[in-house]
Amino acid sequence: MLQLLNSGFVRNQLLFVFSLALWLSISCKPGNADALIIPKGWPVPNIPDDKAVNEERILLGRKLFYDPILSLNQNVSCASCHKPELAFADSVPVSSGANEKFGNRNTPGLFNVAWYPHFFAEGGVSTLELASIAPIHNESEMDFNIGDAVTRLANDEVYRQLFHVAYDTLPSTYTLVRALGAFQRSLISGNSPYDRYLLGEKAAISESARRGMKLFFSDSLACSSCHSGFLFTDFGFHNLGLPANEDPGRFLLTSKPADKGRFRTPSLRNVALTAPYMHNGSLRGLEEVIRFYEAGGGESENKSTQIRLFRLSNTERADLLAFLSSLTDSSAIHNSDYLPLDR
Amino acid sequence: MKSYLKLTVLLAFMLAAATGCKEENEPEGTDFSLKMNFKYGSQNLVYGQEYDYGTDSKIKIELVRFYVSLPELQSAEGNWVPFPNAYFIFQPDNAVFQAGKMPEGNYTALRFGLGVDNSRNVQTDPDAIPATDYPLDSPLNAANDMYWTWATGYIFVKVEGRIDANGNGSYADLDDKIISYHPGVAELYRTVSLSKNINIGNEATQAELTLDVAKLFENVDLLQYPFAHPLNADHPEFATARRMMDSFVTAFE
Repeated sequence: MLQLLNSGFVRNQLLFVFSLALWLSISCKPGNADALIIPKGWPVPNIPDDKAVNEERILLGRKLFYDPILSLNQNVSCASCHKPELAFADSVPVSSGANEKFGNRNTPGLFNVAWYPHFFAEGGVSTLELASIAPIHNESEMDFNIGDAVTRLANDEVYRQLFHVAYDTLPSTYTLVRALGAFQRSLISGNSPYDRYLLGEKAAISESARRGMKLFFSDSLACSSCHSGFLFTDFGFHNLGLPANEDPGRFLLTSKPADKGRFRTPSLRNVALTAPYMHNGSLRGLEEVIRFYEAGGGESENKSTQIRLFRLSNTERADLLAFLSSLTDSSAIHNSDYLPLDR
Repeated sequence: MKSYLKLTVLLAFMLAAATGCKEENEPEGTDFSLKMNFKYGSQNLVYGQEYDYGTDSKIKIELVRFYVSLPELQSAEGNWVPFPNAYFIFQPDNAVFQAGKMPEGNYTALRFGLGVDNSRNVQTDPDAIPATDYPLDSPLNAANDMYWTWATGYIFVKVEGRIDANGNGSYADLDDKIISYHPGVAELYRTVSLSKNINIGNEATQAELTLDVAKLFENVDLLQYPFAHPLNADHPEFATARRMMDSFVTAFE
């Protein structure tokens, strides 16, 4: 036996078999994101073990997302403001909730939140799970309490069973926010005409959109200095010069004067579906947004030096709009896995 | 001889197992609770009742809630003995804190944190347990509405009410104020230390403290500073909230 082990050939064979076994054991280990369909070329989102996603958890989160059971008067669900046909955003400047009270921020879309490092326009919450508390508690959203929501779920036989299947336990705040997180992590949009173009399907976007793409990534417009990366956001906080009196943005969180008027860069994926724009929904359409930037943004103090005047011809503006529209992923919008269960 | 030895070993194991079990299942000590009475100056605190504020104004208190962290009693020998239950939210309609079993003995002092200490506050420790991950009956669960839902960390204290500035009976005049103090920032965590003789015998024991809510605002002009919701130390309302928290420490008797 020892002689055999000393033979280089056998030793190499054993090494190979051991390496293969090791590789197989690593690659066969169920990953926390295995239930997600990751677009080609995108990184696998980092999901901690305690938030691992599977089909049962996504299904439970999906039922909860569309169920008004999480609001005080059972008249508002997450989807009342995060509408699937609008890339999980809303069509009004600011949405109204359970008591028909209006919030003060434009509803953000929810696609690709699995990759977000922080949540809300000032970036004060670092996990998707903790981000579920605010809309449930906010009086201009669901005006409820996460504990009362859990009690309501625990009194519902169907939910008791679904939580048991998904988490092997009764409804709790722990499992409620994880189930909502699981569904939201499953909302992935990375199959727009622009993505297909990047993967080699040259005819996926029009000639105009291709010209718009060059403009978008050009140094003179510098859109991509903030709207960067595969999600078209640097997740940074910038001041565009919009009035900061009513809502000072990140300043609310940090109290640092430099943060007055800074808001998180939104992703531009599906942006053509998420009008109106800006943190307060003050700009009605994408053309208005482009003209806002052409004019060098707004006038308030602390405006980012990255916001500079530029001039576009009508054709160039149309090209830029065509490019932004090429980021609309209709396969995600119509994905039946993202829609209410009873549809 | 051999079987005698076996029996001895067996008995020793049984004894060890029995004492071990006793330690695990029945903690030593006596049930101890701490009751908080609430008053406003010389009167009992009743939500919505009118009290004098300064010479001309009236005040109504509508909410008082505060976190207590890591309470301890000091034994006559000088040792600090922690309550088994380390967190509680006191409020007038939930004023009895069941501390768990405390060792029998004479105690001479009580101390506790006002707010949530850093070890449990995700604001200061990103690895602390998130407020959604405690059981629903835990004081640290976000369901207690003492959490910055749009940001991170616990709100240590909530005091809310109204002021009738000219004392004319209306709380809706231009000068009248809605009071809302929600300090929730690690730098405003305070420790309260009180001399108090507490004897814990072999029967359930309850100690009582009284909080004078009027004292919270003795160093703040509520007509000028009716509102303070700081969540960081640079916050414009931090200094106001600090004055309230520093007074809070002295408001127990």
